[in-house]
Amino acid sequence: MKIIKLDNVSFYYKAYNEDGTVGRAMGVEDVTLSIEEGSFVALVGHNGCGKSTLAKLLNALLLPVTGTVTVCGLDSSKKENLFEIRKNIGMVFQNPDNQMVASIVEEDVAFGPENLGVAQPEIAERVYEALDQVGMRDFAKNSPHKLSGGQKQRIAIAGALAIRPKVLVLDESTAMLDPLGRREVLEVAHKLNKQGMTVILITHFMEEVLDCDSVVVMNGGRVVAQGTPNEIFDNKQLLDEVGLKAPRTVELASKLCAAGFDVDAHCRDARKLGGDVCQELREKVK
Amino acid sequence: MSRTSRKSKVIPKAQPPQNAAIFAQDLNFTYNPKSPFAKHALADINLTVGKGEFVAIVGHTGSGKTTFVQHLNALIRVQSGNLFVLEQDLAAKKPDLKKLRQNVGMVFQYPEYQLFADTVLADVCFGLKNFGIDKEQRQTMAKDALELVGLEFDKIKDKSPFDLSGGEKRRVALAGVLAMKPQILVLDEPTAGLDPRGKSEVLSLVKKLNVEQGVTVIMVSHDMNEVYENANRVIVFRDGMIAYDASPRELFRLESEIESMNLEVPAMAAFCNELERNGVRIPDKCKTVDEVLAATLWQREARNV
Repeated sequence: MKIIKLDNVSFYYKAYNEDGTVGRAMGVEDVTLSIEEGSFVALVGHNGCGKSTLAKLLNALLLPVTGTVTVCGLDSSKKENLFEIRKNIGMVFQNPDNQMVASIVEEDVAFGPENLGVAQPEIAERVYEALDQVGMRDFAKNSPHKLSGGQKQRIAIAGALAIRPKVLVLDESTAMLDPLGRREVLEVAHKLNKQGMTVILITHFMEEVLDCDSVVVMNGGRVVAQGTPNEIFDNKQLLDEVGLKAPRTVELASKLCAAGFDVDAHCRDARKLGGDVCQELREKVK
Repeated sequence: MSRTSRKSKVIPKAQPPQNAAIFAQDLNFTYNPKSPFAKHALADINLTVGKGEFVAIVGHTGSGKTTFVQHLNALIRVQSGNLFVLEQDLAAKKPDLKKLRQNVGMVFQYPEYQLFADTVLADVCFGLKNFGIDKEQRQTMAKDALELVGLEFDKIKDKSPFDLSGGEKRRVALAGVLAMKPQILVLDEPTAGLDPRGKSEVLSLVKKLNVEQGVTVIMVSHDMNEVYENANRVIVFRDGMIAYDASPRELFRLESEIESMNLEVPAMAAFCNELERNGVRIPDKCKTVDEVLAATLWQREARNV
C-alpha cells in the first residue's frame, strides 16, 4: 500500500524581488512521488534542492500551492484532516538542542501525547514504550541537556514515537552528530523500520543511503531520479549533475571493476573489497 | 631552607621551539573549578605544531577538542601550564589579544549562524572594521577574501547573506575570517551539514590556503574520510588527553584501537590495510580513491610481467 502520495505538488515561498515587490521563490515544483508502507527511503540532493520543503509538505506543516499530498489516504488540503495527518507523521530535525521542550527526558517525550489529549496512564505507557524503542529508558529522569548529541536525537525520536506515527521523517537528523551518535540514530531507525515503520531519511551522507530500500534524488525542487541505491550510484552522469558522490568504497569497487578486476561493482565493505583484490593478485602470480 | 628547596622544584618555563605555530606544555583546564560540577576537560596537553602544518583533531564528543582549540585564540584563558601561539605567551598576564586574534582565525561550527549584517560586504567587513582598518582598505580586503572563497564580488556584495544557499553562506562566513589574513586557521567541523559538493569546495579551499599560502590549519572533524585525505597529521583526543598523534596513514593502521574509540576507519585506509595484511603494499601517500586505484592497478601490472 502507498502510505504517502504526492501528485504534481508545487510549493513556493514568499520572497521579495529586487525592486521590493512580492514575488516567489521555488520550494518544490511538480513533484509526483509515492512511498510504499514499511519501506526505508532516502531523500538526497544538495543544499537548497527542496528536500526539507518536501518533508514539511508531508506532515502538512506546509500546504501545497498546487497538487495534492495524500497521507494514509487523507488529503492534506482539507483542514479536518490535518490533525490525523500530523499524528501519522513523526518528524525529527537536524539540531538536537532545538527540539527539546522540557527539562526532564520523560516530560519531553510526553509533550506530543499530552497535546493530543491522551489520558494520563496511557501517556506514561507510551513514554516508556517509546524510550524502550530507542534504548533510552534508563535516562527517563535525566536532564536532556546533559546527554550526548546521539542520545538527544534518540530522545527526539522517542518524542515522535510517543504520538505513534506510521511514518518517521528524519530531516538530516545525523548531520550534527559524531560517528557514534550517527550509528546510534541509524540503528534505531532501522530497528523501527523492521518493526513496520515507514522511514524517510534525509541525508548528505551517502554511506547512510546504501542501507535504504530506495533513494529519491532531488535537484532544483524537482525529483530527478528514484531507484535502488545501486541504480543511483551506478548513474555517474546523474550524480555529477546533482553534485552527489557515491561512497568511496563503492566508487573504488566500480572503478576496479571497470579496469577488469573480478570484484563486485557494488561492494560496500572496503575490507572485503581489499580481500577480493588480493585474491586476484595472488592468482596472477601463479 | 624551605625556600631554597621549593625554588629548586620550579620547572623553568620552556621556550617554544623555532618555527612553532603552537606550543603547549602541560596545559590543563577545568570547567567550574572548585565546585561540585568541576569537569577536568584538558589534562597535561603537550604539543608542538609547526608553521604550515595541516593538523586534524578528532575524538568523541566531550573529549576536549573544542576546549583545546578555544585556547588557541584565547577565548579560554590558560588556567595552568604554558601555551605559546605564534611566539605569544598566552599564560602571560596580559597577552596582546588583538594581535593574536588577527593572526588566529577561528571558524566555529555552523559559522553561517553568525552572519548578521544586511549585506554580504558589511558582514565580511565587520571583523576588519573592529581591527581598525580604514574603509577603502576594508573594501579591497573583503573583495580578496570573497574571491578567495570562490564568490563573485560584484554579484554578491550587496545581497543579503540570508538569501544565499547553505554552501554560499558558509563561504561568506569563511571569507569574514579569511579577510584578516590569519596565519593560523582554526576550523571546528567546517563541513558539517554541507552537501558533498559543498564539502569538497570548503576542503579544497582550506587545502589551497595551506599549500599555497602556508597557512597553518587546525581542523576539528568527525569525518574520518576527509581527515584522512587532507591532514598531514592527526591528533586524537580522549578524555581530555592526547591519545594518539600520528600521520593519517600510521594512525588508521591501528584499526582495533580506532574502533574502540568509536571512530571510523576511513574507507580507503580499510582497503589498503587489508591489502597490506596480504602482503600487497600501497604507498602511504595514496589516500584518495583515484590514487589508491592507480596504485592497485600498478600492483597488478607488476605481477603481469
